Amino acid sequence: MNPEKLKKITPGKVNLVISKKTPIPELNYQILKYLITERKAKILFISIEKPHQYMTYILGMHGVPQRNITYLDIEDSKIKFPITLNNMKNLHIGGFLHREIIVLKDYDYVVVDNIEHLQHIWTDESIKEFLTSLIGDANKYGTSIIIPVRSTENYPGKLAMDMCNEKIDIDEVRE
Amino acid sequence: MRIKSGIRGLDELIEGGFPDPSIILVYGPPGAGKSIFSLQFLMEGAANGEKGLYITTLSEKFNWMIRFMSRFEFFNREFFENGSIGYVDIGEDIRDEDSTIISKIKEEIAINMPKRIVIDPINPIREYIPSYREFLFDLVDLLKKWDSTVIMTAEKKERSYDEEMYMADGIIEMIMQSEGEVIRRYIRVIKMRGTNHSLSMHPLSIDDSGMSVLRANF
Ligand SMILES: Nc1ncnc2c1ncn2[C@@H]1O[C@H](COP(=O)(O)OP(=O)(O)O)[C@@H](O)[C@H]1O
Ligand SMILES: [Mg+2]
Repeated sequence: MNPEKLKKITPGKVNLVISKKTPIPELNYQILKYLITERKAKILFISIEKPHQYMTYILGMHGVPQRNITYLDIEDSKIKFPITLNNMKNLHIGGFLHREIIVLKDYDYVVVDNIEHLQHIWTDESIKEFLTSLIGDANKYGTSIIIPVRSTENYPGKLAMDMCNEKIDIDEVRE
Repeated sequence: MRIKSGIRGLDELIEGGFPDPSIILVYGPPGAGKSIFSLQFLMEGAANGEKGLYITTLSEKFNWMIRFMSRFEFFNREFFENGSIGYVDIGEDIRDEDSTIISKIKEEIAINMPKRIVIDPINPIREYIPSYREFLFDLVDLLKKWDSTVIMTAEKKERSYDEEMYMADGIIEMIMQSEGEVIRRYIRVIKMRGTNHSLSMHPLSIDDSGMSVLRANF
């Protein structure tokens, strides 16, 4: 992959970052590192497939500061935005929290972990509801969304493809 | 999604390649070609811009491996030098009671960030770990988190490989069989999740161009 291409991430938009050749945890890592070091951004990382401790570990190994990241772990719980004080109790939150509740206004970027994995744990309807509510809420505050995917052939990938404003293919093209 | 094995003639038997991500067990007797298989798999990826990580448990020095592999046409030493493929020897770690192999592997994955991983061979760890089953469980959990395609090789002696087979998404057997005066090589796909695959024994050849599966089958 070519991390230089992450410069194409457009603020205030829904950005789909596509790589067939990069494991999702590395894609997440490259995106977070870029946003933290180059854009000095405040980030909400929505962790879908694995608890966020794994991402924390990888960033730690590479010395990337994590002061500006809030982690939200989706385990089996369904999530809809905006998050309310009521369902906040049931969520698994890690990292830095700006206030006692997650409000997208507090973040420059939302990075969504392995969205393709949702096809194994949620119904198509729940996936759509999650993405629609996230994008709708983010648009209110001009918060950017980044969705890394390896394939757009499955339902979540296709849906993200349909709903995004920018597609960034970060694989190196072979001459 | 499918990931190309790099072994000529194999992908045709498994709907275009290994499922990606997945854990593939490659087992067979010494000399069957497990290490050649593994390195050809990593080289295929590196030539396509996919990073690799080769983990050996045999305390085999890097230069030693290079010496044996260099004459194969598929082998490109440069990929090890420019960081496309990482080489890690955990032979010492598995003999050292204090070290935890899982955290060592976790660390190497976080450093190298590989798309393709090889552990060659996995079974010697059994001799050093009190609970091998638990170890495999943790290892698989770690590897699944990383979302890459993994080849684990196992040396087949008399023992069965229940534990390794249980956790694998795919199983490939490499066979050496006496036929009159000669020993012939074969390869057989025993299991490949989500794949309509051949169950036949396919003749296998190793020469300077590397490993290939031949057309005839029995
Ligand atoms: N250049 C070559 N041409 C033909 N056969 C070879 C060549 N190099 C190695 N071999 C065969 O490959 C075998 C070694 O394969 P290897 O992958 O190291 O086996 P394993 O890892 O299963 O023990 C050798 O014993 C030899 O029979
Ligand atoms: Mg070997």
